[in-house]
Amino acid sequence: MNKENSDSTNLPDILPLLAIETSEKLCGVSFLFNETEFYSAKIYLPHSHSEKLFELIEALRDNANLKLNDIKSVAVSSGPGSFTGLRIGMAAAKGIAAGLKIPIIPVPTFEALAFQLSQVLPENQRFIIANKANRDEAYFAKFHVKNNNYIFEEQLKILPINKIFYEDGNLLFGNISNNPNKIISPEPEVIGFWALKFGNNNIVYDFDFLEPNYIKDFIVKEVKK
Amino acid sequence: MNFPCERISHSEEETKLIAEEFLSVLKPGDVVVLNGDLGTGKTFFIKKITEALGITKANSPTFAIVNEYESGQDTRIYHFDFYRINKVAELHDIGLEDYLADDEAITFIEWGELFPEVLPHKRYEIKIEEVSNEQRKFRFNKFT
Repeated sequence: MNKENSDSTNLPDILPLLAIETSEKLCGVSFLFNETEFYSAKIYLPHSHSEKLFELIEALRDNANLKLNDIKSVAVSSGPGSFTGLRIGMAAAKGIAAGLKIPIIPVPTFEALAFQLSQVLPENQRFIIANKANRDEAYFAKFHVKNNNYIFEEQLKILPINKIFYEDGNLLFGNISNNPNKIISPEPEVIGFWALKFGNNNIVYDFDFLEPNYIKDFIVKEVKK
Repeated sequence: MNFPCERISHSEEETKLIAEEFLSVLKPGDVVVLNGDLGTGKTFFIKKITEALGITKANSPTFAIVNEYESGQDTRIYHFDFYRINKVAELHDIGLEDYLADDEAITFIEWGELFPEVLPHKRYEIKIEEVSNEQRKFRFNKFT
């Protein structure tokens, strides 16, 4: 996946940007003015997304002294992740984008988290992200760090949880173990950063049929093989 | 209750006692699959369990697919019926995984045998058979 050449020529068109992250227990929103200036807010409470997401957006909008009309695009964490969370985030993004007649930038959740981790992990560090898809299986992808960016070592797939092990020196992130690095989903502003950096080809104006990336899609793909 | 095991009920009152006995082994996060022909009493059995938890409104989710009940004791119950599900994608479309992942709820699934591929490995299974008009045989099994 070559993302190093992506440029930011259309940056002005999509800023300020509203970013939404609800793929797991974290419910987070961020207003980005540019690549370094942003407001973020988050809530970490189970079963809270549907109740709290719009409250959070409104409170943060007021804090940031913005009007919703100022927003030029909505970046939304598009999965994989929890069914309910992804649907709520996508529904909110669509509602806001439709009302303001602005585009949506769906952001692949694991890549956003990999991007976030690549800012802090050492060069060449290998790491795995694995989040539960159901009781017995997890979404899985493996990366390494290069120039503060992520390189896929293994593409996103579903694996039985008991088949996921990691060799010495690899780090594991996600909710499949009680590992102390309890980093499960990306920060909301990172959803925005990813959209700014890599989202150029991902801007969706006609989003009626835009859906989050969910377990069903993996299963359908497997059947097609 | 040790698994696997069988119980015979000769009356609704006895079924209630069996339901209460089974309830005593359940804890939040458990998934219970109920199989048995139409009219054998899958919903009735769940109704007796939920009544023991103080929930009086349990009814068949055949048309709703899933009902949610909340008891005063902080126990949440999800009550599924797969009878009217045509294909497994429909279960993904209603977010079955999120229900099954809820560690704070007990999930009951009527007709679970119709879609074994979505059932978690760790689960209880109850097979209900009609022995005679009033008599029911319950077979309990536990998969770990």
